[in-house]
Amino acid sequence: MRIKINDIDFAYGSVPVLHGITADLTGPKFVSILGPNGVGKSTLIHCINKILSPTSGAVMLNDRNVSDISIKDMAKLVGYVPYSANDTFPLSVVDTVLMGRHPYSKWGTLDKDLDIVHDTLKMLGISHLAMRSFNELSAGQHQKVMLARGLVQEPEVLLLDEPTSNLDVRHQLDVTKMLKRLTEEKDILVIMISHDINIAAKYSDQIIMLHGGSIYAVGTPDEVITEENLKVVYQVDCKVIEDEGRPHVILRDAVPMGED
Amino acid sequence: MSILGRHPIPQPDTDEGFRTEYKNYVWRKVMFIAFLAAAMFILLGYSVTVSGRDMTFWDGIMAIVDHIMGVSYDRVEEPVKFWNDYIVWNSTMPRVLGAIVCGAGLAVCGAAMQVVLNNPLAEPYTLGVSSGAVFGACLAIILGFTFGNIGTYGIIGNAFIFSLVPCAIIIVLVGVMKGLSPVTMILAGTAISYFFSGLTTLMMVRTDDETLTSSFRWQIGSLAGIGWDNIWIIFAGTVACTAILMMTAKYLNALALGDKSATSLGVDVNRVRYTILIVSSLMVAVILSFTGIIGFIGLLAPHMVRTILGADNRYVIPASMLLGPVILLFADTVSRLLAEVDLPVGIVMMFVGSPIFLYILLGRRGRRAMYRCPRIPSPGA
Repeated sequence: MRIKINDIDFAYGSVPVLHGITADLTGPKFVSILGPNGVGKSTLIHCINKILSPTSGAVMLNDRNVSDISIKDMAKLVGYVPYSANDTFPLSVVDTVLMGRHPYSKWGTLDKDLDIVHDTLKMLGISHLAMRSFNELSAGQHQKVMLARGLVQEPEVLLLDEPTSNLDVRHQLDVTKMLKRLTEEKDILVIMISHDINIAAKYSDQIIMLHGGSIYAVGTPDEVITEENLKVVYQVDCKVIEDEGRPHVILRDAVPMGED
Repeated sequence: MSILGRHPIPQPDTDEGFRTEYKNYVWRKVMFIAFLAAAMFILLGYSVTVSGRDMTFWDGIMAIVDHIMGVSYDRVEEPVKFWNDYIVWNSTMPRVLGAIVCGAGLAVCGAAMQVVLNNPLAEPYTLGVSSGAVFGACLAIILGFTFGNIGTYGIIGNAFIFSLVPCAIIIVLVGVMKGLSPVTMILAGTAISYFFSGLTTLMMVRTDDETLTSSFRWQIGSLAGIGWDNIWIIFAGTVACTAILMMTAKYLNALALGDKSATSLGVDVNRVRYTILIVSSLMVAVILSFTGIIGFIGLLAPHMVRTILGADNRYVIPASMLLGPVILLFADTVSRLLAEVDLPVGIVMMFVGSPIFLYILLGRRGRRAMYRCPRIPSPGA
């Protein structure tokens, strides 16, 4: 799977969010998108999976413009794990995850779909929650359920919007390691938005760092996670050390306002 | 969690065990729907006997069965059976069938609107359908204005046409604004409702007492106006629209996950939302034109179903389609039992619906199902 982002811009009305984003991502690979709040990380992945349409430029999926792909076909190619879930009318966990089979299924539920759901729930360690209602779960369990829903889509690209933000450190590591493993086992391209620079640095093959609606740096963790980049993008003073061949960030202080 | 899924029979954690557990879970929902169907038919059998005539449950059932089988009775030789048949088929049956059809339509519509508008308080009239209908009816009753010379159908025709106006305005707004969020739609519906209510009130304050009473009575939902001559219209409209809404149940489940998630699952959110809004508005407009405003049913039935079955719309829609008639038949039967004069079912629905709805909201099952909020300890607790 290859995603080519050709010079896309996006604006919410008259408010520009993304400007001149160009990237070439080929799977299987684990890609992290980093950047401060409001920089356009979620908007970027929404442009990739056709939830939003760029105001200019194009996103190509295996050399096909996503605007030419039906949303049903997109759902078979690209899975999406949102940052938060709507639980106004909560389904059970099993029905929520089964919704991931929506692009493939009819009104009823096939045994094959149930098997896929069960295997995924087991892989994430939440099969015991299958018959519980979604709104009875903790925020961390919500994230695992939504992750399971994205995985049962059996996509070639999996987009995740801060999938570990509500998980404790142990589960953050578990889930990220599992995503890394999936890229190789299932031959998929995983693109994850994260605020945890160290976890992104530890597991990512490639990092895209956004700043001011544009790509500030892109490359391997070594190339992107540098003290200079973090100071400009996140406005923090930090020290970057090497840990098991990967950069590791030790935060020191926030850069005082107005100082670059 | 719904009570049906609360104590599942433990199954081994294998694919086979998981399938069995899921199928049991679905089977319990299907059984509940079958139970509602049975309850509806039993209530139908009882309700046709409530006519001021001394008739037992079995008399009513036999009158229905015999009539369907083509059995007829002589007025002189078998007067009891003759009059049972006459009363059931000419007096109570159209009204009872009307309660079933209207209850089903309003409940299904409520269930769909709540999901489409992502709001548990949404009901069939949320987008202003009722205020448009009342305006149309008052236009005919007070000013004598109708579309075409259609005799007794003048009020109904006006109510139908004007009830669709708010929905049409919202759809035009959606086109002009290139999409509206569910919240904006609800607020737009509220604004349009106020506008029509203002026009209606203006007409009402400037008319005489007798016309005012007629206008006001039209607004209180009643099944008294349903007869064999018009029930087929309500039936056809409700069946067609309900069938479409049943087919959209899976898409409703996707919408319940949120618009972004639904889109990522291959659902054209706007198309599904507007299709459901248009179909629901048409169905409510047909019902409303003949009955006036029967409130609460579209709110009560879907919420009761969700507390028992959970929120899977593949089951919520058919279960609401059966629970709606049960509630409305019950209310209509009570109204006929209690009142010597015809008590509009809309009034009984308010009395019956309010305590039941409060029980659902505040009861343990309701809180567990979806209406929970964090329990904030009182100071010092």
